[in-house]
Amino acid sequence: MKLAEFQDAIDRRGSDLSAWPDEPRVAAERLLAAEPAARARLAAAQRLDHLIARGMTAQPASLDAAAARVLARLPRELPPQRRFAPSWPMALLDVDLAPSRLRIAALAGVACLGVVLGLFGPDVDARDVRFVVAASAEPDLAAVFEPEPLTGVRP
Amino acid sequence: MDGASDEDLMQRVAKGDEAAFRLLSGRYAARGLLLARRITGNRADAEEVVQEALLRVWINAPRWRPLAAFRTWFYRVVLNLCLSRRRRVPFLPLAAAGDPLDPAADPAARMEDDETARQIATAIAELPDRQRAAIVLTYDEGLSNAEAAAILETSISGVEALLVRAKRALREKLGSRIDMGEIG
Repeated sequence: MKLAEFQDAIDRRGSDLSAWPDEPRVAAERLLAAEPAARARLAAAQRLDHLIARGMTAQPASLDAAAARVLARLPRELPPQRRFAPSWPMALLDVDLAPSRLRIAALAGVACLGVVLGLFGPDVDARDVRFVVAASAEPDLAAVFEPEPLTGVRP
Repeated sequence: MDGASDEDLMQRVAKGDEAAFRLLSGRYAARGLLLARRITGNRADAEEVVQEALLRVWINAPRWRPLAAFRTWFYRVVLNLCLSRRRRVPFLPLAAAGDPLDPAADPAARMEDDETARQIATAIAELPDRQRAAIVLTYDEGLSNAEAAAILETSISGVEALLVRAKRALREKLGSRIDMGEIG
């Protein structure tokens, strides 16, 4: 870590190094051990933090009175609340779908595949004459529709 | 009901429970005022902002979803109202809000403290709005950078960038008091 990076990190994360994540903290401690300038910057940052905190700790004494005034000024009769019109999309939004995301994704994927196959897949019409002729000409296929030799039952 | 969490109270407020709303308002009025005063630098504006923020809580409670802490949502409402107000109304420095002095303090020490506090308050008040908001949220409210980011509706690195710029500006303004040494 270089001096400029150290200054930037102090400004981002504050001058309390114990609150930093491990990796930058270790790098900062190494720099502090080696560089007096880094120690000076940390000290200056701590003084700035102290000054800001001091400026902030001046709690307005009249805060409670002001809060009481605000509460007293709230209308006795409150305005109507804004509510969503009940509708099925909102009811759906209230359902927690997170546990089923994988299954929903799989279902959506299969649905998409079905649409793609339906649009671009082989288009076979069972009433097509060529199909019927081909099927009847095929001995194995014809056998499928033959009655059972022993029982005479048709499939 | 006094011991109920903010989120539980909000669930009740969402169902139109006025008592829960007034209890929640009592919890947050002073905290909202402090934040609003720091941002607007003006007592009257701060009171109006908090009153409006509380009414928005009531009106929009049915739409509230407990995705974040109530405090985060409320502070965001207060902050947005403060920032939009500051765009319309000329700025009044925070120091002009004039908090009463501690009569028990030593007069000389009090004067020095007061002068230091005034300089700091002025330096902070002169920061651009969002930089000042980042400083107030992290130092005054003691929020983490992540919480401040949620209120300012930005990323954590966005808040960090605001803090870097704000502190750079404060270092320049308060240079002699920080005793910067070699830091420019």
